[in-house]
Amino acid sequence: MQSSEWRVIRAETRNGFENMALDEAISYFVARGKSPNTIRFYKWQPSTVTIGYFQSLWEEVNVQECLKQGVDIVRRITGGGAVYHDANGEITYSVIAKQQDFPADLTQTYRLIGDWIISSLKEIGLQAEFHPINDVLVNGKKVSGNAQTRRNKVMHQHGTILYDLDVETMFSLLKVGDIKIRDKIIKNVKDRVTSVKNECKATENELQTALINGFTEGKKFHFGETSQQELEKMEELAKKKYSSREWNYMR
Amino acid sequence: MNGKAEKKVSGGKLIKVQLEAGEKIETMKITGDFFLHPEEKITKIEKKIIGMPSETSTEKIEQAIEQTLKKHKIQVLGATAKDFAGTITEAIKNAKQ
Repeated sequence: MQSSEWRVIRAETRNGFENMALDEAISYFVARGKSPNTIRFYKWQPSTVTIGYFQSLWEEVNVQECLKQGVDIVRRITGGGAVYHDANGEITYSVIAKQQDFPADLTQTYRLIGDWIISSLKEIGLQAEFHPINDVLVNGKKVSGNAQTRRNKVMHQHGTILYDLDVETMFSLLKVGDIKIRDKIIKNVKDRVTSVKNECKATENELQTALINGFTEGKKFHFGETSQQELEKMEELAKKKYSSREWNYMR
Repeated sequence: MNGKAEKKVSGGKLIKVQLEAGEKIETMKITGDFFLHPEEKITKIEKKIIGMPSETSTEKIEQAIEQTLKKHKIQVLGATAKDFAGTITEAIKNAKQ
């Protein structure tokens, strides 16, 4: 099925505008056959809130609080919900590949990549399971959320693996309904969401290694870097699209 | 009159509708955490419903959305045409109050 060797880019840290822009830049070059199928891992600095393509920014995010805490806000090109990307709390991945190398079915693809995540978590001693449409759970609680888009015959899926969850900060930044039931909601979230740190003793480095292993299992791959072209495209997209009011306040 | 409604679809995704309606649906915005492909085509659904009489039945709204999904080869994960139609109808109801 694989038409070429995978490029794996090990965890790099960028701001939210650049992270989203780089995903799109790599997709752009994969579409044109100029970049190989790519798996990349990344982190966020500063912490960032991303919202799904179909969400209303001002309805989902406490903009004032984000400003106060120095947290960026970026709209994704993928659907799904609002996500708080804690600079110290998670690892994000992107899988960007020619659509022909993945199942035509979106749900099947979520499941397939979900299996890679499950395999990674198994390596650090966690038993995880896929929960349709797009979640991976450990002990019945969500540890990974994922979102996929298909454009220009390229399959792009990105997702988070929670290493450490700061619920209080997350709830200060995201609008989660009636302030009167905030405590109830926080308790509710702790029942439905978990982090790797909460479930086992693995370090973040061990998680990163496990992810690389889980994602590359059975694949021909090499470790690589982003190309100069990709970086230039990223700069352009970060500036003109992802940090623009027009994009972020679109709905 | 402004109307809003939201619906939690079984499976966990949320649909929100915000609209202005008098005799007709004048403006409408659908938001939420569902998945729709191709993403930009959400506006096709909105444009199809905008201009319809506010009295339009939920079934007719659902049909119109189904037609739009077929015509533009739109795929939705986490919500159905029925879910969208139900939320739109409720928003219209809320606009009248």
